[in-house]
Amino acid sequence: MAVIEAIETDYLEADTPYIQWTSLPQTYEHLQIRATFQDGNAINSAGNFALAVYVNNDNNTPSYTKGWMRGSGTTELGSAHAASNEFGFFGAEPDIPFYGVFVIDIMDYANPNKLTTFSAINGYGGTVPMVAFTSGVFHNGADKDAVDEMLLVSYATSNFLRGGCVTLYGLNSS
Amino acid sequence: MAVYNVIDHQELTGTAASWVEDSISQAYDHLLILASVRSNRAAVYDSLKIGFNDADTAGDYGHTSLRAGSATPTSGRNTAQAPTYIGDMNGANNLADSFSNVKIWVPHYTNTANFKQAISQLVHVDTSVVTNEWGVELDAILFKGDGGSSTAAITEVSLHTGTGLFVEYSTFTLYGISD
Repeated sequence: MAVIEAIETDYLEADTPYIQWTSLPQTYEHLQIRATFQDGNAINSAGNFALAVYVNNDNNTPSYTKGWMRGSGTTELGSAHAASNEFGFFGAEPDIPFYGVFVIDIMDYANPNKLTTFSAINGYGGTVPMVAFTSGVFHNGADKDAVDEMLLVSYATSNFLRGGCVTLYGLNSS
Repeated sequence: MAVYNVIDHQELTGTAASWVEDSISQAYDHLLILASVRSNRAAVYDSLKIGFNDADTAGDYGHTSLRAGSATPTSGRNTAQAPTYIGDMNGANNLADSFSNVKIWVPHYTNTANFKQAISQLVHVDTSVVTNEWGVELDAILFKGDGGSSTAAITEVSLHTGTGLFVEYSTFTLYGISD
């Protein structure tokens, strides 16, 4: 068995409202998402929109808290938000062919003794550029269940634009 | 040879002040450490530190950081710590059962011509949004060798707490990356 394996890959040949992975194997130590996305709503501006990653069929934003630092090329900012699920930025369809890039780590995702922690690096080079390093924690009550489902959506609640691509990798520890 | 190779993996069954991997194979090109850690320090955070080759003298290391735990990101540099600080991890007063994610790349660790550089990503999570009860930090790590002027290959790596101990269920995975 290879140490790093692709669990799922989605090439977006058409606009797609969400990406959902179910019945994720519990046999890896860590998960990593590598993605390139653009928001797909043509009536949105070229400004920033965010990627949300929900787990275990809990798509309620109050179950998540995030912290991040980001820079826009002229301004740097840090902030933390309760009830927030955002792991970086992209633009919207009027800004194509720009696409945002994301690498998101979910370590020890199958450990039933831990809440789920996310860390993400993201960049976008479009009309409203951005670079961000983001943390997140899933804290629905004391839910420490292994991650077995993931849902990726644009926080703008519109589609992912065709042309995006995402792979979920599993990393073994033996 | 596979590109990713597991050199070591440990999950703590009790507390520990450090994780150490000795006699690291020189057969790979790069090292990658992925860790999920929490300290029992009675505070909202504890320091996380990294060491190489058992070097323990101020001047052997340096780090340059970019971090945020409030609205204002800050950058700093320190060359007086051994092992050297790479950020704050979750402490005992953070959200119960929450752990920090740590990723550290150590490229070209076998070369004997250069000082070693590594880069780390660390997140400190909580449901609180109060200043420094959360944090994100990137660090450029400099290792000038044991004695402060050695370009010897890296054969040992270690992670350390500040004042507390790593708690049970903390995990450490060291990968060797081949070309």
